[in-house]
Amino acid sequence: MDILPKSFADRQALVDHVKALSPQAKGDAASPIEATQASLAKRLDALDPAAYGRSRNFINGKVTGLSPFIRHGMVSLNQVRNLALDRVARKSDAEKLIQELAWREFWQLVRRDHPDWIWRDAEPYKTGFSSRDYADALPQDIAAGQTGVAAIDDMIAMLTTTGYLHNHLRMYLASYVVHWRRVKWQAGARFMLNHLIDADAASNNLSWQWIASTYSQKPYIFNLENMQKYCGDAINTQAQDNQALDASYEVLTARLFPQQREMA
Amino acid sequence: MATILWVHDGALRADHPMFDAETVKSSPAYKAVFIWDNDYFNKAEMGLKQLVFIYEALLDMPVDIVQGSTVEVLRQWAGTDGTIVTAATSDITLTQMMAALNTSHRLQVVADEPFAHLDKTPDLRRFFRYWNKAKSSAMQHHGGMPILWTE
Repeated sequence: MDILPKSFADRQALVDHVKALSPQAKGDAASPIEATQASLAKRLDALDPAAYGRSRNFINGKVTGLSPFIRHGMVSLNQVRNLALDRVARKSDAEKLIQELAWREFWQLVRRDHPDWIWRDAEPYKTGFSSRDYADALPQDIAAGQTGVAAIDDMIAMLTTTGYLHNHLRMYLASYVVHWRRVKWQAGARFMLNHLIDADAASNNLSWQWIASTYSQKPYIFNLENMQKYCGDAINTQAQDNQALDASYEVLTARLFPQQREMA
Repeated sequence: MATILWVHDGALRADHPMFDAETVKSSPAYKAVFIWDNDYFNKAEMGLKQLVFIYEALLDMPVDIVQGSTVEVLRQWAGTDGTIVTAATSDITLTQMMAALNTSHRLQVVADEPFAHLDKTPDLRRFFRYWNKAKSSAMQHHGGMPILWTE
C-alpha cells in the first residue's frame, strides 16, 4: 500500500494530484482559500468579535472566514471561543460570535441524535405545500448559474468558483431554490455540498431544512430591498436584473405560498 | 501490537486530543494515517475544492496518506491485535466505519475539547432551546489547548 506524496512543486501540482486520485469529484479548479497554517493564522489574527457582532449580516462585514478550518477540525470551537473572549473588554461583545459557534455545535448534536434528518424532512413543510409539491432534481439553470436572476447567478458563480459563500448569501440562495423554484431542499443541499470547501452535512443540510421550514416554524424568505441593504456592491442587486425578488414581503408571501393564505 | 491513529477529515490538527490519548503516548511507534477513500468522499458529496482543501491541510500534519477503503486499510495496518485510536464525530458514515472496526479491533474514540458543558440532554427541537441551556457554559473560557501559532 503506497504512501501518497506530501510535497509538490506548486499548488497546481497538488490540485492535479487530487484530480487524479478522485476523478469523480465535481468541479474543475481549487478554491483560492488555502488550507495552510499561515492562512488559518491570518484569520485568527484578524478575529474581532465585537466588529463581527455589529456587521456579520453584511456581505462585506467582519466575518471570520474560519468555517472551512472549523469544519475540518484545524481549529476547535473551544479554541475559537477562548480566543474570542480574550479579544473583548466585555464578554457580551463576543456573544454573537459565540452564538454562531453554538449553531455549529447544535447541528452536530442534532445529527448525532437524529442521523436520518440529514436527508429526510424533520417536520412537514409549513408553506401550504407538501413535499410532493417540490421537484426532486435541481433545475439545470440553477446548476449552471443561469437563472436570469442576476443576484442569484452571482451567488452561484461565487459558490462554484471560490467554494465559499457568506452565510447570508447561502440563506438567500437556499430560499430562492426551495421557495421561488419549489425544489426539494435535498437537491439544493447536495449542490452546495458538491461545491463548498466547508461542506458539512450537519450544518449544511439542517440549515437547508431551517430555510425550507421542515426544521423551523415558518419558511425563510427575503426580498430585493433586504439584499440591497446587506450586499453592497458584492453582487448585482439592480431592480431591473432581479424582478423575481423585487416585491414586498406581503406580496412575495402571497405569491410564493398561495395555499398557505387559503389555509389561513 | 500496533497502535494506529486514524485521522479523519473532521480532525485535521496536530493538537487534537487524540494525539494525547494514553494509548498513543504509550506507543511511541504508533502510526498516524489518513485514508483517501473515494467511496467515503462520494457518500459525503465532497467536491474537488473540498478535497484539495483536505489534502492541503494534511501536508502540515504528522500523518501518512494512503488511498483505499478506510476499514480495509485500518484492519490491515492494525494487524490482528492492534488498537485504533480516532477522533469522535457525528458524521454518519464515519460512525458506521467505527462500529465496523469495533467488531474486529480495540477502538478508542477521543472527544474534542468541549465547547459547552450541559447538565442534561439538551432539547434539540429548536436552536434557542439549546442555546438557552448552553449559553452560560459556552460564554466561559474553558482553557484547554491554546492555538498552535506557527508564525
